[in-house]
Amino acid sequence: MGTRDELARLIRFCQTSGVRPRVDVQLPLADAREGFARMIDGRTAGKIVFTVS
Amino acid sequence: MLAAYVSKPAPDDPLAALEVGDRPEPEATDGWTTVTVRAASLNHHDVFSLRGVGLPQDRMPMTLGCDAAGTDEDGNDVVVHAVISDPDWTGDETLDPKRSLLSERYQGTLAEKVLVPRRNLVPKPAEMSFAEAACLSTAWLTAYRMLFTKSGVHPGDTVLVQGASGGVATALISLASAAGIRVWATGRTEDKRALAAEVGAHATFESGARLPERVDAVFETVGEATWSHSLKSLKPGGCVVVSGATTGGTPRPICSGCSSCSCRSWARRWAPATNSPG
Repeated sequence: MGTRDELARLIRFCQTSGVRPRVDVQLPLADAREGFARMIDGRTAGKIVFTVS
Repeated sequence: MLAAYVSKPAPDDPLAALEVGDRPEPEATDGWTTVTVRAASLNHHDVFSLRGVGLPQDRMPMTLGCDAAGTDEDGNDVVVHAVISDPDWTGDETLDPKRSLLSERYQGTLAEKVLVPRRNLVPKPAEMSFAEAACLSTAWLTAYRMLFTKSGVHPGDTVLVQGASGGVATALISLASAAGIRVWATGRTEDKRALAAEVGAHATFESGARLPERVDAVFETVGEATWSHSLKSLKPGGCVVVSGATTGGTPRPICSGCSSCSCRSWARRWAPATNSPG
């Protein structure tokens, strides 16, 4: 949580430094249950991302 | 449209409260715009919503999700800023008493489309994937703010990040090390410590371990379980920055404060918009 300004600066920092969020797993939104189960069980190593085509 | 949502909370079994199915498409309204979602990330906030924490039943069914990246109505690639402030509020929107996070008052991002105020869109650079961009608005933004707005640390300082495998914690480690800050991190298991090292920690430690030296700042997202260690690890004049407390409770200071160590702490609990008017 932060301001829109901070979000814009964060994005620029990612561009200039090359740093990126670590995505643990990408799942289709239809399989959201699997993603939630991983988070509830503590089985995360990075972010869980749902993709929508 | 397809969405992940909650209709009836389940405090003790959040997975049982999750529904994945058809929700109405958002309807355009003045000053707001529809984003076609390409990727949305999961946060602990969504699990709290399933438990009914911070989301009263009278706002359900509610589409979950705070973070998204996608395309706006003109086809531009955008990142969605999750904090919705009152249209009349000016200045830091995190201070607006009427603020809410997407999926608290307005439908969230775990859906094919999401309706947001126009001012809540930020351009997504081409070199970031939608998946990466979808991770920025909550966990990464919180980490950025903790580090660079609140903590007062500088390149060359040393910081401790507690509970190093969580979303905000891994963001803190990555951002701090990219900014030339020396990062020490704690994790309960070898796997968690290995992850912390992989995302940029210079050294990792077991929870509660004595550190080689005291640090300039400690970043807390764990809460009760690590609070005492956090305070003991801090240099005089250092700062503890707290965001959320997944082990719950209100961390209690271990001393009543005196002039000899002059530690300071900054804490902000994100209070869900359950009691806000309007």
